[in-house]
Amino acid sequence: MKRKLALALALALGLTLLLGGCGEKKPGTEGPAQAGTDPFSIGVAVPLTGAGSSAGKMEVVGITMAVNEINAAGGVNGRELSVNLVDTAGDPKEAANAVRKLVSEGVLAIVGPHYSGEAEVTYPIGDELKVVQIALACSKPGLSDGYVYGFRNVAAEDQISAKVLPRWVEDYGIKTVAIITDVKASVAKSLGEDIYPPIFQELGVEVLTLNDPITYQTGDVDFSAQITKAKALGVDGIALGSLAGDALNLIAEAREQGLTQPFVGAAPLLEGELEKKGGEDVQGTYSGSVFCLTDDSERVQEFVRSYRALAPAMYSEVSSDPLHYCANAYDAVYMLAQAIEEQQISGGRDTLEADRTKIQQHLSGLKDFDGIDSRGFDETNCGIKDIYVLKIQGDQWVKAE
Amino acid sequence: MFVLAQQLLNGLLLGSMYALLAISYTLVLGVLDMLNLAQGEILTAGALTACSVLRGTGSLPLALGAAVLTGAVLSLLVEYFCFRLPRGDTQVVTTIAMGMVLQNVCTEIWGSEPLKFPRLEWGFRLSLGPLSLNGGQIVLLALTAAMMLLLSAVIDRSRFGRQIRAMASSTKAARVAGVDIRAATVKTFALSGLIAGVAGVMAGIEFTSITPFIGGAVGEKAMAAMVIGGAGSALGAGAAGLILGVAEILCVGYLGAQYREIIIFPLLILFLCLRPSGLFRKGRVDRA
Repeated sequence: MKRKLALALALALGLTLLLGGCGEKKPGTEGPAQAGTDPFSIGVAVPLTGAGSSAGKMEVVGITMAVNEINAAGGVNGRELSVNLVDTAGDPKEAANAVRKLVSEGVLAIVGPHYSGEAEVTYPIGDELKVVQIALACSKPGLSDGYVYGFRNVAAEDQISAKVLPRWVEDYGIKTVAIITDVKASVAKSLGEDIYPPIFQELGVEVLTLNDPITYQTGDVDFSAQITKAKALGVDGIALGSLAGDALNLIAEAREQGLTQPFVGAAPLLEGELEKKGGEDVQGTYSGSVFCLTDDSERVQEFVRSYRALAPAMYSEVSSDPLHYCANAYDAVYMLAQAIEEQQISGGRDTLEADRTKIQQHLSGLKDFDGIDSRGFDETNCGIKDIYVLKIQGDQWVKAE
Repeated sequence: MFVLAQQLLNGLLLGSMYALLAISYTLVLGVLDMLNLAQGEILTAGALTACSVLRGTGSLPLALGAAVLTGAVLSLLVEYFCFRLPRGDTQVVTTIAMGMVLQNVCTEIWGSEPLKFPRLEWGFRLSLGPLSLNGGQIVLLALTAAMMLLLSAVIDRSRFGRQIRAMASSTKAARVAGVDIRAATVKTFALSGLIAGVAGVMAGIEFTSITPFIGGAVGEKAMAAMVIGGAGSALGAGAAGLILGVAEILCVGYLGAQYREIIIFPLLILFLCLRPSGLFRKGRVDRA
């Protein structure tokens, strides 16, 4: 009897694990390479487990879309692209291992990592091994400056905030502001401590938390103390140096404590479906991005449609709306395909080092790329992007016009 | 003054969460002398299950039932796979492994982004001057107090309580005295998981959204509360949870979140140096 029970329990657990895993299909493995010609191998290092996994999976969907499109159209110089996917778990240590693994397995270039904290560790490795990385969400100011092989197909947060904050201040008539800062997440900390204060001061807005900052740490679950403190200051608005998950909780707690002031944040706020989960609480919250889902251009809408067709088949739990990460990843693959094509990359084992360097040279000169949201890279290897000021209206981020 | 009062109240609410989970820890550790480090993840699984049920049906009793069931079943799985099956002293490590498995299964099912817990309309509110408590918060405070008293009574007075206390003193002696060790162990784990499930629902209500990662944050503090409270004491664990919650909120509110761990955990060490047997000096469990 006990043995039977044990067996049943083991089966139940096994089934749960199996069911959990069966929503995934490996990208880039569709169809064999053309006979006699190996496919060009592109490495992908993004979080597939852990806190960043939803964003990482969205990036994999974008990459798969691009690879499928390119391969369906005959590949690059007659050869297909293949994807070598490694999980970074959003963890700098794992990301470093992932990059080393991909390089040793002979990829031409790497799409990823995702987080600034990861890239701070993997960029030096990429420069040492002379392999390009195109990071996808690393928006910490100055992050890619000084690296040769480390690129990031994103707009830095200081560029985004420089557009978003003036608009928010003007639209809500803000005179005083409180800044709530996540002191643990690299990008959030730099937003709250280094980026927002000078912009507000330039706009003539008084920051009441300059000498007595309101702080929390990523992964905190309770924000009552922070909101009580902000409430006591009686400010006109609150700026969040936050990632989206925490922003959702902070804003909900603020409404619970009776605060009606508007919130503003930066690109990290677009992650995690704040606009869908926040309901009434988050209406009128401002942020900025390089990608706008509700952009009415046919190209963007086509991109959104093909994302919606592919994403549920790959990962049941990712959002039905693509974010800028997805577009950044999609464009990154096309940039690499362009580099491979125009630089006549041979993709052989013996020319691998030279090929990787050619790709680096191509990307560093790329200024007029025609992507979904990408134009190329500036002199600091940071993405050249259009920036939109967005606000939450209903359950969508729309352009603040 | 108002700010201080509001912060104290915030602290009590956060502390209630720690208290509930600390009580579920203390049952297994203090009473059975087994440490289950997957307890935080059991709370998380309960919270996520409740969230899905609540969204699907809109019924709080159903959600609570589902969370309690999830908690109890997972706790029994932990008992079987981490304590009964492995030989040797690897149990604590296997519970960590179990916690990781649970966290990743939850991430696969619910994703890594926060899940909004539906806001419940309680229909009542308590106002104390400028301070105000919503229905969920009143229920959380009341539930915590009730759990502390109820479980204290169960451990101290009931036949089941006597059995598990006997086992904590000496498993052999308890067996000789006619205690069904297996049955009592299974019951304790089930009870512990059930409380973690309830704590999960309260976490959803109080924190307003849930991720698969909340277990770690709450679990650490709850474990500290259990140690401060004196292993095996539900009252102690509860009281220590409340104290920790208030200390944390005051620290965050007046100093900054970056100093929280630097201040709270050394206090824990200092406290244990001064009162190694916990908050209530005469531990509830007479150890042989």
